[in-house]
Amino acid sequence: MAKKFPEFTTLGPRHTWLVFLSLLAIASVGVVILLAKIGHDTQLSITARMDKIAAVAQLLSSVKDAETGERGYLVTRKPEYLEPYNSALKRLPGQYRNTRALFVSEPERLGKVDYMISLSERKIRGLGVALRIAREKGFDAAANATLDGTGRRTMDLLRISTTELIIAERNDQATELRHLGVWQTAFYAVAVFLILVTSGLLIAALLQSLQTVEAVRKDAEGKSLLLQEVLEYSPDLIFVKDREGRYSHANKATLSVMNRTSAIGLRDSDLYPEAVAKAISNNDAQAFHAPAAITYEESLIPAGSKLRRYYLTTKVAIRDKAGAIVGLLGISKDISERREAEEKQQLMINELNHRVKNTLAVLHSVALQSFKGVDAAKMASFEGRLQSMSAAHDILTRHSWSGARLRDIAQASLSPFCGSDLSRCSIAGPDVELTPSAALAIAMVFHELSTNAAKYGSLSVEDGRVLVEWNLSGNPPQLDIKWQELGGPAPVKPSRIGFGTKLIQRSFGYDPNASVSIDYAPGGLTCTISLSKFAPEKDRDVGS
Amino acid sequence: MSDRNAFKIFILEDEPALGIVLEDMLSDLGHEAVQTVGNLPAAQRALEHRNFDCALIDVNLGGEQSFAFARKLIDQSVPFAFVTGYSASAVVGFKGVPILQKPYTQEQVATTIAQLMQVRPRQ
Repeated sequence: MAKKFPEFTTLGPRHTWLVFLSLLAIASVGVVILLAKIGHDTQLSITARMDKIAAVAQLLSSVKDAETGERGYLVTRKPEYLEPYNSALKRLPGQYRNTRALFVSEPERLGKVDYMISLSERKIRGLGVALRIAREKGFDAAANATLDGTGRRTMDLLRISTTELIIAERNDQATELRHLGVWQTAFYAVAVFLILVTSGLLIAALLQSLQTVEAVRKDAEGKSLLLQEVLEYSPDLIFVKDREGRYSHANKATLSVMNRTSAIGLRDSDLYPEAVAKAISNNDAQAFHAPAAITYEESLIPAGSKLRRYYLTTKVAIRDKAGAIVGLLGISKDISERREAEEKQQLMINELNHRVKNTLAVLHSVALQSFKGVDAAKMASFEGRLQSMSAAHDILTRHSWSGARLRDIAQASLSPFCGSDLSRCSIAGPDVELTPSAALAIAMVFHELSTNAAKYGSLSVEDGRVLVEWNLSGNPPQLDIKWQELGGPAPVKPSRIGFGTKLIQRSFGYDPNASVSIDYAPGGLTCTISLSKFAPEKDRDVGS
Repeated sequence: MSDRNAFKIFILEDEPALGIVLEDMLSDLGHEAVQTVGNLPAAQRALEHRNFDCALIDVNLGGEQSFAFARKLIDQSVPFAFVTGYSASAVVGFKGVPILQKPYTQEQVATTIAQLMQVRPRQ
């Protein structure tokens, strides 16, 4: 499989271009703003020059008004002809201030304005003198004074300087208008340039983002392809069913079990025998409504095969974004080989346990044959012990050596001595599960105590009895077992510790906290046993 | 002990019948079985009051293996042999440690003790 998965590529050189264009755009914006500012200032200046020209012209006009009024009065000798003179006189101080203020930023021109103002004042003074003469010396004297030409010369000078100032302003205005044209052209040029650069930038960014989107898409496509391959070629059966139990996806492993090339739209009932399909759909129904994944053991005979296969199938409901169940995802692992191995192992363990029993039987026969006629009593004792062990093995084997109940062990150990109906003993205690070691040890101890009771203790007389009681206490639990003989002869403590007593005392040597005590009380022998290691570990596997 | 070839022996064996018989065999051979225990905590305590020359230790004690205890014996230079029903190949990593296979005869016990104490076996 040489599939090529696309990789994400970086776009190095284009980034440099983008940065360059961006810088250019920023610079262009600066230039545009600067040009607009200069243009605006120039326009303001041109407008201001109109005001200046108007102010200067009005000033001249006011002086002319004053002269006209004075002349009219002197000629007509009617005071109402003096009106233009009076109003001009009122206007002029304001016009002086106003005109000066307009020119204050141009010192050279301001000098000319001041000269104009001084000419104007001189002219007005001249007019004032003529009017005073008219009042004091008569109109003819005033006319003569006017005709000396001083006033006319002042007026000419004023007219000339006004004209010069207006021409100068007009020239400046013309220059500024020319400049304004240049600035505006530059403004439009740079603005167009800016638009071009910005458009270029936008296009470049768009291209780049398109390429990134494409790269991401390809990457996602590659990953999804990879995921699809993983699902498709998984040795586990991976499938999806819709709410109605129809397959919407089945990987190669699933299809090979179905012996089909496609399963889309099919139900299990279309594929498997009724019983199998029903078992599967029961599990599906449960998994559909479960809050989490559930694992089931399922089995079926694949199409075109004769051997039953076993699967460990995990099923989980698939929900949409709103949380509604839309389907069921299943993953099945074929555990047939593992199951077979486990079954084989269990078979071997069972076989081994039976062989142990068999070995005990062989041992019994060999001993019988070897010690024939040697010592009947000793032989019987040996046989008893062997039989007790064998009985305990039986109980353990019945439970696959996972453990045994204390009651079963007690009954099996005591039945050869208390009658098959156990009428001579009483066994009482809660249900206690024992480990195989504890079960064998307790069986051995009960056997030794029973044989002793049968020979010397309560079971040696007709009415004697044995009480066996136990109870559990504490956490971790402690098991206390009490053996009590009643109604027999008073026991005698043996002078020498025999094999049986040693066995009783040492049977629980595997338990560090075990204690065993034998009391030869006159009322009957008692044996108390305390154990801490007796209960099978719950989660331990059988045969491990 | 007056006899130079008689030894004090420690036994770790959880099967009571086997422990008792092994003690008897050692006694018959003139040795002294000073202590027999059936679990590892008891074995550890015995090692702290060491009053023996060598040890015979069972490999499997109710599902627990005695290898860690065996290492302690090596650390304290106590000669010992494994006693086991397993085949010798089940005991790994104890080169030179003798193995007494179950079931054993008194003669095999004698040979093992002699091997441990590097003397001629007693009859």
